[in-house]
Amino acid sequence: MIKKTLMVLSLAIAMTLGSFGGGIALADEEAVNQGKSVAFNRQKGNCLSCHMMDDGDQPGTQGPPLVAMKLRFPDRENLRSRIYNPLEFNPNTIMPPFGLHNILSDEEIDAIVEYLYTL
Amino acid sequence: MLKKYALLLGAVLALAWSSTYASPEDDRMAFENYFTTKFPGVPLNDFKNGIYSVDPVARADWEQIEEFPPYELAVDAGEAEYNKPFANGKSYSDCFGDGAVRGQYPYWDGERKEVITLELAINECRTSNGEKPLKWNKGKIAELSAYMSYISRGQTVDVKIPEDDPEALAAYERGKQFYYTKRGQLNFSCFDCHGTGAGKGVRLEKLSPALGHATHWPVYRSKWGAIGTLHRRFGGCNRQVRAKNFKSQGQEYRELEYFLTYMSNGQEFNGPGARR
Amino acid sequence: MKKYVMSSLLALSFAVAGTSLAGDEFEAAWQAADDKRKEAASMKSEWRDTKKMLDKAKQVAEKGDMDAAMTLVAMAHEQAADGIAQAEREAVMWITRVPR
Repeated sequence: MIKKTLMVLSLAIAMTLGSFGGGIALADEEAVNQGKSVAFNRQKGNCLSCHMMDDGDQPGTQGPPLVAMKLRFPDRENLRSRIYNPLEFNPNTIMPPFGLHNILSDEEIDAIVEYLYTL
Repeated sequence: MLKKYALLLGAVLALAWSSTYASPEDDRMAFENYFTTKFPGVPLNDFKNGIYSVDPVARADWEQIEEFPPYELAVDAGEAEYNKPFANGKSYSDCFGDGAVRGQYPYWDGERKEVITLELAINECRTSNGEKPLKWNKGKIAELSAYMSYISRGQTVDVKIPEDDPEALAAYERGKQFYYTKRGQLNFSCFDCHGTGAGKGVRLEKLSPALGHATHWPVYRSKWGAIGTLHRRFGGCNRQVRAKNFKSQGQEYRELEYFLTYMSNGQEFNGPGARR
Repeated sequence: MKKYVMSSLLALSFAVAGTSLAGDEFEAAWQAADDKRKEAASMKSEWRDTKKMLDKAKQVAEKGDMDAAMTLVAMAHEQAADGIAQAEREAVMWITRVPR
C-alpha cells in the first residue's frame, strides 16, 4: 500500500517536472511531426504543390518559399489566420481557405503552425 | 484592422471595376496584353501552343512527341467515320462540306439564342439524319472533331459576338463571369490558375496560360491515354478544384467556350494537340 | 408471466419508437442538407463531394450507425452552406480579377 502510494507520488512528481521541461518539448515534437505530414500530404495540406519548404521534393512556385516563418510571422494567431482563411487578407488570393472550407481540421491547422515555426 | 481594410478595398475595387463598361474587344485586348506582358519573350502567335509556349523544357519533349503524334490514330479514325454514310445514305459532308470548318465554331445562333459548338453541331448532324447522338467527352466524337480540326489547321480564331443581339453579349458575359468566379472547396477560379498562376509550378508541372487555350482541341492527353474534348477538360478542371462539374455541352460550358475562344481571337486553330 | 410479456412488449415498443425517432430526425436532417445542396447548385456553386456525402450517409444509416450518418449529413450541410457563401462573395468579387 505504501509502496503503491510512493509510486503514484513519484510518478506525479515526474509528470509535474516533465511538464516544465522535457514534457512540452515532447508534445511539441509530436505536433511538429503531425504538422509536417499534414503539410506534405497531397490529400491534406498539399502545401508543397505551391510552396518550397523544408526538405520537400518537387515544390511548386505559386506561393512564396516558407522560410524564417517565426521571424516573418511573429504573431502566431496571425499566421494561423493566413492558413485558416487567407481571403481575410486578400480576397483575390489563390491560396485555399483551409479552415473556412473545412479542407483541414482546426487541430491539423494548429499542427501546421507548430511545424511552420520550425522553418 | 487588416481584415476590415482588405474587405473595404475589395468592395471599392469591385465598385470601380463594375462602374466602367468594357466591350468584349476591350476585354480581349486587355487579356492579350496581360499575357504578353507576363511573358515578354513569347511571340503573340506562339500562345496557341499552350504550356509549351512558356515552358522551354517541356517544349523540347513535346516537339519530339509531335514527330510521331499520338493523336494520329484518332485523326485517321475520324476521317473514316466522317466518310462513312449514315443509314439514310447521307453523311457528315451533307452538314459540313469538306469538313474543314473548325474556324466557324463556336458561334452564336441568333434564332436559337444559344452558342453552337463543333461537337454540338456534329451530334445534331447525326440526329437530324436519324442517327443516335454520340457521347460528348471521348471516343468517336473526339475523333471526328480531331479530324475536322486537323484539316482546318491554320484557320484563324474569329469568334463573333453579334452587336445587334444583346442576348449574344449576355451569353458572352455569363461565360466571362464563370471564368473569373472562384468555385469548389479549394476556391479557385479558372483565371486563378491559368492567369495569376500561369507559367508557375504546381509541384513540377507548370500551369498553362489562358491565351491560346481554346485553339488546340481535342487533345490526346497522356494522362487519359486517349483523345478527349475541351468540355471533358473543363469538367476535369472543375473537379480538381473540388467543384461539382457541369454537363458537357450544357449551357455553362458552351458559354465558357464562347468566352474563352473569343479571348484567343487572332490566334491560329492548331488542333488536335498532344499534352501530358 | 403475463406481467413479463407486458413489460417486454412495452420495452420493445419503446425501442421501436426510439429507432424511428432517430430515423425521422435523420430523414429531416438529410432533406435539409439536400435542399441546401440544391440551393448551392442553383447558384452554380455546388461542391464536388457534397452529394457523395449524402449518398454515403444513407448507406450508413441503413446499416444502423446513426451517429456516423448524422455526422456525414452535417458535413454535407456545411459544404452546401459554404458553397452558397462562396457564391455570394463571388457575385461581387469576380469582376475585380478581369484584366483591364
